[in-house]
Amino acid sequence: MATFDELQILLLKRTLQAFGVPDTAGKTFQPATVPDSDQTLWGLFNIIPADGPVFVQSGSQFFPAYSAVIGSLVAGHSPFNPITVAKRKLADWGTKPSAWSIDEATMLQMLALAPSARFPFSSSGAPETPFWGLWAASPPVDGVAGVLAAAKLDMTLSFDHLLNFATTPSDWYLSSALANAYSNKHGAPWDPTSPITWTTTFGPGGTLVRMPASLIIADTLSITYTSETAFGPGGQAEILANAAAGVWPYYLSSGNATTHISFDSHGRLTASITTPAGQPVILAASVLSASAYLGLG
Amino acid sequence: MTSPVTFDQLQDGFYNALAAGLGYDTTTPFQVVQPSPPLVGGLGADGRLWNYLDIIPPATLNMNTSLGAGGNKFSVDYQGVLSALQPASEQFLNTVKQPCYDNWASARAKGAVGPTGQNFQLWAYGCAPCQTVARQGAIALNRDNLDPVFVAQNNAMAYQPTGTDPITFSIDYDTMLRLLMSAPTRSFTVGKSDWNTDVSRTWANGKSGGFFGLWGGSSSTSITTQKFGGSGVSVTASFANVLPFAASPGNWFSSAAMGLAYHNPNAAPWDPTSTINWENSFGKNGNMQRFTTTLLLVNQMDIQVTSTAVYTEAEQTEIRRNSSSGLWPFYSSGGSGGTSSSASFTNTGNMHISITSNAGVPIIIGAIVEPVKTYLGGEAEAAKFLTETFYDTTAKKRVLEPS
Repeated sequence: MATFDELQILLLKRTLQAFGVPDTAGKTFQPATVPDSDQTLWGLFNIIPADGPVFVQSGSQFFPAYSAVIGSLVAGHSPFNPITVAKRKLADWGTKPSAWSIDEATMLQMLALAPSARFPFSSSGAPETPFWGLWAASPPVDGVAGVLAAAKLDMTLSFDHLLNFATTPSDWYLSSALANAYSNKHGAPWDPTSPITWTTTFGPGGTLVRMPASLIIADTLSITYTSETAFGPGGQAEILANAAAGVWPYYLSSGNATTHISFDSHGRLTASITTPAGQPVILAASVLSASAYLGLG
Repeated sequence: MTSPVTFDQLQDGFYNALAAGLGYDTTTPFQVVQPSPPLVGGLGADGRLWNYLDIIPPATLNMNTSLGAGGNKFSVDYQGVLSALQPASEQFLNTVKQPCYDNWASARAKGAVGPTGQNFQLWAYGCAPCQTVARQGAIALNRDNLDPVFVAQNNAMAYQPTGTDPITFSIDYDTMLRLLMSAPTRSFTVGKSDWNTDVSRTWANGKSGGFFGLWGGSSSTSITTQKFGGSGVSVTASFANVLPFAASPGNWFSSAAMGLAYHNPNAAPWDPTSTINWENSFGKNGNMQRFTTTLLLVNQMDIQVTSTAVYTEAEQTEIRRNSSSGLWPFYSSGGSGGTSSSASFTNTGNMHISITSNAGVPIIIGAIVEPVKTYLGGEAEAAKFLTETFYDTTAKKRVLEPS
């Protein structure tokens, strides 16, 4: 008998394979996010995600953490010195919000040309945490979600367009400066008087341990699943009452998706979730360790 | 030549067949890119195309989902290396003095003055600290421009990230599209027992980045996939146009200076006090271990795969149900401008896979990613000559200070 956590892990693995992301690097969005501007799109690349299978923010953000590192490095004499250039780039950037090289409008163009994907999913699996339950913010441990996970479940996922959207930080960022800091654990270019060190940056719990490399973005998502569990009248009412806030697996609210919940005469659940054409939905992210992000090794 | 028995061997076999069918031998550092991404035209198309050549990808044989992702740029790392190199002997700075030099360097970075002595001389008349040294400075600059490190630094100064000029490669998107549409047709066939599954001699020693199974989204160890891999499989592939797109870096790059740096580990021209060195640039944890030199672009791909394995009714249903997410080997499934896949069965349960892509949409199906050893290997003789000429003391006396 699978737990709801196990069900989620299994689905995550299957979807990441289909998205072309190694499952060691993939993190899922709960809830799936609908970007509506450059800032909301780029804001996701600015997140340094916490460890674990769900894309959630850790204590730090890319731009401020990067700025702090550059501020703690000593510039060299050559006009090409990466630290010198990085400091100048940051000063030129000033107080503008952080940006990435491809904007939302171009992303939408790419999404419209991206291939389609369709694949089934059936339940049974392996453990881990910390997902939400059947509806947004519901406790995952027991209740109706546990009931759902315990029985056979069949799902079909289809996407008219599925895009692995990769973009790189804009003019404020210099990969060679960060790589130089990474490859010199002690001494130069680190400023010995600064409290910001290799360990506080790249060590365990550091501010730049991993970075988002790409986002998996879908257009016209359609997910249908059927459970063999028989829900009683209480369970049915609970699910229906919470459906508008968004249901598993992507918890899309009624503003971003159409969700239909129905029960047959035996109380068996069928859920279908569809999103409108032309509306991007971010489902997952590919996250790399600092050294992989910097192309080292 | 064998019949592939596992799915992994079949993948390796397809890899070898594709490389050979496109005219490469198995030692060519050739990567298949999957899912095969379309190249979108319009505003910013050049930058997106060139980004594939500027981003330094991970080392894998078969698949590369990270092409174009991450934060490691060739152009940026290159300028980092330049910062750690010293010209053999520089006279320009001593001739014009620091205030003039700083003004000149800042003007170079903004593209306000060209790299030559003549450019300097003209510009210097309008710059107070340089006015009095316009002619002497021009002579010194022309002399220093003969030094491979100095001239590389001088040329790079105008380009990002140090300067403001954008990083370019030699061929733009529109030209690429024109070249692709008139590029030759390529096709190849692999019979049931013609599979060469040996990838042990390939450049990454068979280290694959991981594969999906038979269709995008399946596990490569599922029973149906294993059956596909172990069956008698033949492939016919044709491409209306195949273009090995090899664009070279623009004026921002000097292969002579890079070659000199690569072939002189821990010696001049490296500045021993710099935190950037041979090891963290070209060594096994360095940021410049490989370069994307060629993109394999195709127009109208048509791949037909026939398997003589006997599939049960249930297996056939499973394969049909999954075919829309893209079938082996490219997984780039149907969409506007993308490719489409379909699977059909003959009465005996034999399987036929068809993968096609639309006309007029360039698709990247592969890339050649060269290790630094071969990328800069050709610079060995030049590096030796330059080292002897500029850094060997006796030779330097002979060349630069004739008696």
